[in-house]
Amino acid sequence: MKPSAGRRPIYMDHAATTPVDPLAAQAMAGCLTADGVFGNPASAGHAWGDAAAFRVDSARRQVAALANADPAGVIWTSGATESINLAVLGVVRFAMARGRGRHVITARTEHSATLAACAQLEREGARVTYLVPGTDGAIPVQAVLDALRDDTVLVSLMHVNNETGVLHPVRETAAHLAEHPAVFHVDAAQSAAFLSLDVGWGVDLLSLSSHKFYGPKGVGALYVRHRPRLRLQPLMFGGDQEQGMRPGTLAVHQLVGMGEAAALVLQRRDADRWRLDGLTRRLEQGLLDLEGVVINGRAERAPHILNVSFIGVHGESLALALEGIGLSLGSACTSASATASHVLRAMGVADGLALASFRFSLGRWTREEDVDEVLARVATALAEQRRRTTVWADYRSGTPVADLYGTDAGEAAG
Amino acid sequence: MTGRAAWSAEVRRHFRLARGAGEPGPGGQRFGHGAAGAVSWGTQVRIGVTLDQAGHIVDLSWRCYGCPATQAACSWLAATVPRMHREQAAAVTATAMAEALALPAERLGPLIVVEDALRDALQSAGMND
Repeated sequence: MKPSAGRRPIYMDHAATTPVDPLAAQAMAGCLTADGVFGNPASAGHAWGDAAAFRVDSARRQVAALANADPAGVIWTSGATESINLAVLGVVRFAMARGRGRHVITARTEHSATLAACAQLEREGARVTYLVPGTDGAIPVQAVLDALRDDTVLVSLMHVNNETGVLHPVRETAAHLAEHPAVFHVDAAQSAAFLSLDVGWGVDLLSLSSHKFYGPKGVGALYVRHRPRLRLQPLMFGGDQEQGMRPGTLAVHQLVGMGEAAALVLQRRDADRWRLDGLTRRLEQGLLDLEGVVINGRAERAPHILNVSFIGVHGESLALALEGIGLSLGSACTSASATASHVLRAMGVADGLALASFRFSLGRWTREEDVDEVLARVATALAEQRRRTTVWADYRSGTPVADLYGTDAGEAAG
Repeated sequence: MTGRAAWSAEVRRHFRLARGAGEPGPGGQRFGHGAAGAVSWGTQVRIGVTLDQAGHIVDLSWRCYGCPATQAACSWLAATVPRMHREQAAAVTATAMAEALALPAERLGPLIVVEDALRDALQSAGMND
């Protein structure tokens, strides 16, 4: 990236995307040119096609191993968005076409891919229950169970929220759903790199994204329960690749890159998890030492994501002051009117605080000195911004946070 | 969570300098204090101006809650209006600030709040005549 004002750029946006691991990139490069494995895996019967098919099968096993899944259930996609669409639309359209039900349970804090797919299903006649999280960001398992109906065909929840890092207890939810015919889909895009997953817990569908765990962009996977076979209505039609669920020539280099990245995750997942947990705690404590910092998502979290709001500053202005650090700002700010995050709004965070929220997400190559450098830069930028703002002056004069920002900000700020 | 706005060089310069930033307070013979906007609007500005006996601006200070364009506009005012007569300063518009800072039309909203706060401050100072 372009360095800013001579300062060392520090990337802390791994929840948005990760760099490709050099070993994965090397494996991909071996699948492109004439001296590599460039064949079409569907071209059975000659060496080039067979070599490609072998590499695809190998990658399929590597990705399946992430979730202790049967490789036969892995369907390649273009990424988590396609996986989620195929899961959500595929299950519910299949069920509705056969009169087996039309009710879906999901949460207001889900990724836009899930929410938009559910909105499309509503236009097609489905009924969707959107669960509301607590102020800590968690969706209680009991809320899922309370929303179940006889005609519920799908429960779709994310393992780790992409904005707050808050965990959903997948294993416990799956156990409770075991007696209900509803299909359980888990969006594991943010969790695969760090958390143990096992579809044997009772997960019927699992969405994965390669570029969230040091694989290439443009490739993902949907695990579909293979025994007993779960049937979906495909989104696209064409050849018989991927059991007819996802036709089109397979991008061997992408799949091999994802497979290699998955294998690396399995080798180091526990070590990465504990190391990042320690670094994120260091970051969290350092930020909390600064006055007027609110943690968004105080429930149990994944080890790599920390979302905070800074009282007394405007998000866009603090973002500019922090240029050079790769962070996600909790608002869309490419125009004059900013929009607060739907996740934070669902948690009851006031718009003013949501617009001053930042997501720090650490990764495989984040070091302790990066965390300390970020803390130092945030402290400096925050102090300077607060010197300029009306809100901070009012806060220091004793105005309660709830009065500064309205609604339930006081509760959210704790 | 999305990308960030691209700011002009002038906005960046004034954002970095932040001329006049800090608590507005009585600093001279005649002091006026103005305010406009609200946190719920996304922009809130408080401006203090100090005038000399002849009605010329000696100093302008500000605090605001706003985007970089808002902060840059306040800084630009603090660099531009000192030595202007009060009536001349009252004629400074949001459009003039936008031109000086090379800001697009959609950023006029926060600058209008800055303009309102400036006029309020100048009027407040005039009431002490």
